[in-house]
Amino acid sequence: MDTILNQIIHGMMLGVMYSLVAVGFTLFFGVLNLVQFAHGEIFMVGAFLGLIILNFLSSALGIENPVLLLIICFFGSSVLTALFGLFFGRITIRPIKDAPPVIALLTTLGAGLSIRYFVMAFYPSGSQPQRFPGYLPDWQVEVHGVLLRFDSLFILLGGILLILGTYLFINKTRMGIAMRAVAQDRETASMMGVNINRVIDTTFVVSGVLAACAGIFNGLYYRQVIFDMGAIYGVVGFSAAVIGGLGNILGAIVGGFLFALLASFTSAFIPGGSAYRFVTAFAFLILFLVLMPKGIVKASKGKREK
Amino acid sequence: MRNSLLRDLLVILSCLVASWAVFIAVLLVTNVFFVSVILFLSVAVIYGLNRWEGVRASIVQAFRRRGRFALVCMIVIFLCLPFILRSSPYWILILTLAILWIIVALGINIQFGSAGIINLGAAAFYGVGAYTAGMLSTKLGSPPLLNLLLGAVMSMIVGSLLFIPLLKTKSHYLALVTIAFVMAFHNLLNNAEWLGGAQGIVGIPLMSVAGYSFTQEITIWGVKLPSQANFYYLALLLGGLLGAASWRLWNSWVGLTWNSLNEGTGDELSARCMGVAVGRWAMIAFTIGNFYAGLAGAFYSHMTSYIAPPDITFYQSLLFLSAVILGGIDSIPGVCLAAVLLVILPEKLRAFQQYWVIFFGIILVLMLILRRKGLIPVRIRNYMRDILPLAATRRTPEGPD
Repeated sequence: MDTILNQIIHGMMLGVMYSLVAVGFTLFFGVLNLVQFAHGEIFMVGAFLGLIILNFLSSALGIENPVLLLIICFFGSSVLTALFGLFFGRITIRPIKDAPPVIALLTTLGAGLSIRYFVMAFYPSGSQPQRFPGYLPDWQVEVHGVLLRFDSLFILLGGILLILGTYLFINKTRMGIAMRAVAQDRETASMMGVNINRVIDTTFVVSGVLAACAGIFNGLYYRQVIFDMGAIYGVVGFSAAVIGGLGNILGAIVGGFLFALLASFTSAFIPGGSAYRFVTAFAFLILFLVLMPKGIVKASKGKREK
Repeated sequence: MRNSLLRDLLVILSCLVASWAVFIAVLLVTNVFFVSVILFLSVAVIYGLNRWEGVRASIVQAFRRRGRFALVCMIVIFLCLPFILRSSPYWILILTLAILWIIVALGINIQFGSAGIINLGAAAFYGVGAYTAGMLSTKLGSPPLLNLLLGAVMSMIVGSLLFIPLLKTKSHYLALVTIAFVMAFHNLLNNAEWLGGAQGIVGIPLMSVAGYSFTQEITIWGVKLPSQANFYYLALLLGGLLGAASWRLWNSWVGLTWNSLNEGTGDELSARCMGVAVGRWAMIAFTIGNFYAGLAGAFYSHMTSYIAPPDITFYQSLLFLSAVILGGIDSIPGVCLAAVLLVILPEKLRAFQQYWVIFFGIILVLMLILRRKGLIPVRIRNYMRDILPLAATRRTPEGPD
């Protein structure tokens, strides 16, 4: 029982990170109708920017207060990653936004590859894992045999707040409504006065912020970041978005949690399973695509058919 | 008539000799600066000739009229390459590898280029072939030539695992299925102890045919060729056979059928209406492509005597697939050229090894944005060319609209 609860908590924590990446995928798919496969690399860039900011603040400016450090780190990395995503989108996504989906997928794959190896080549000793300073307290408490670590709770809470914020942004603000309009029908939306290019830019900004936060969460939890961490997160995030139904935010969140729980249960309960956790997860994904290609969460009314 | 024959032959010979001279010079010159100068100049010359309508037309006409002569010349040059490169066995080995890449790329071209089935898991099928050959020869000691066939067949069988997803999903969903497949396969190989785990299979016997070992040097007409030439000639034979098969398929009703179910060149719905069994032809294209990949993989493990999980990754699959994209979707000469470039360039740029992937990614993106039809765009099939003198028309992968 205790193992199950512990695994659920670990899975939830992983699920938050997967969901944050998956929401990015789903936003791109909804707005642009293409798969932005470099999103995993944007997540990685977010984590590295956070690392650079932390190192700069603590060594060059000598700031010691962990709360202040983390606030600046999250804020700075989000802004910079959003700018990076914006720039990236303008040079690679805009020229291909009307191309066939497979072409868009391959273009973003190629671009993501360049970003990943750029970090490896130009970050000092970038091919090695980089130590991520752990500013979260090591505080932990055991409740009836269930281990609650402060960093897990922090990530869980922060992630849920971010997802909630995104949900409110999409559903309540003018820009969010414009995004949903573009997702439904790009031409009609542009006839109604929606500036398509601004919507695309906003998509990059929102997903960049989410990816950056997920990257820093990942660094804080595992205490290290490496240049190719975006590869697995990219595929997992995409898978989660597909499981939930591409283009559907709620679906991406459900998919992220499902994928994470599946992976952590496999590693906990199947003997020798931790090495095979991605085998089961991906086999499940393939099975899932065959059985329910449209995703778990039904598209809300008024969604385009696709 | 006689005059034009002589002129055609001269044109063909000079084109071939010039291009192969450039190719060999690029291989043998070690200074990166000179290599880039040669490459730059040759690209400029090709661009210039392409622009100069008269010259271009006469070259195209010459190759079209004397296609068989050009083919024979190409075969002779391929056969002579080990003689020219006999002082550098390393490059013979690299060229053999390039031929294996051509085989894989031709297989993917049948899948992705002709039938529009995106396969981002080609490395997994390559790996199935390589591991089958490795396991069979180290555990059972079966003869390498048989292993080539068994590896390819095994790759077809493993490919049939994906038949149902193949029939049920399309474009990026299918891409995700194949990505998930190669990642799961990589993960499995890394952890399965009975397959050698992360160390892979070591000590696979080198290729041998009916007792003739490929480790001995060959002497032809008093010229001693390094032992690597054995592998080169066998790969050339296989590549030639598979290339010819692939060409015949492309140029037949089978190729047309595949094109009809490709999203880019055809329309699945109309194909269905015309009585094309869409699902069946998709499965056939997928299986043939996997046969190619498995065969190349099995050859690879008997050539290097070693196969390990790092060779079987999603990145490797992307490299294989990008040979099709860079060369020209569905264009067989283009795919061959791009596969060779993708093997040779990283070897030439060894000094900048850590920047190669960055460079590759940028090239891929630029090609997809600026020149989606590839290095050598696919031609319209020119049936009944004796009756209908069709001009050298080109079709874009996006199709007529």
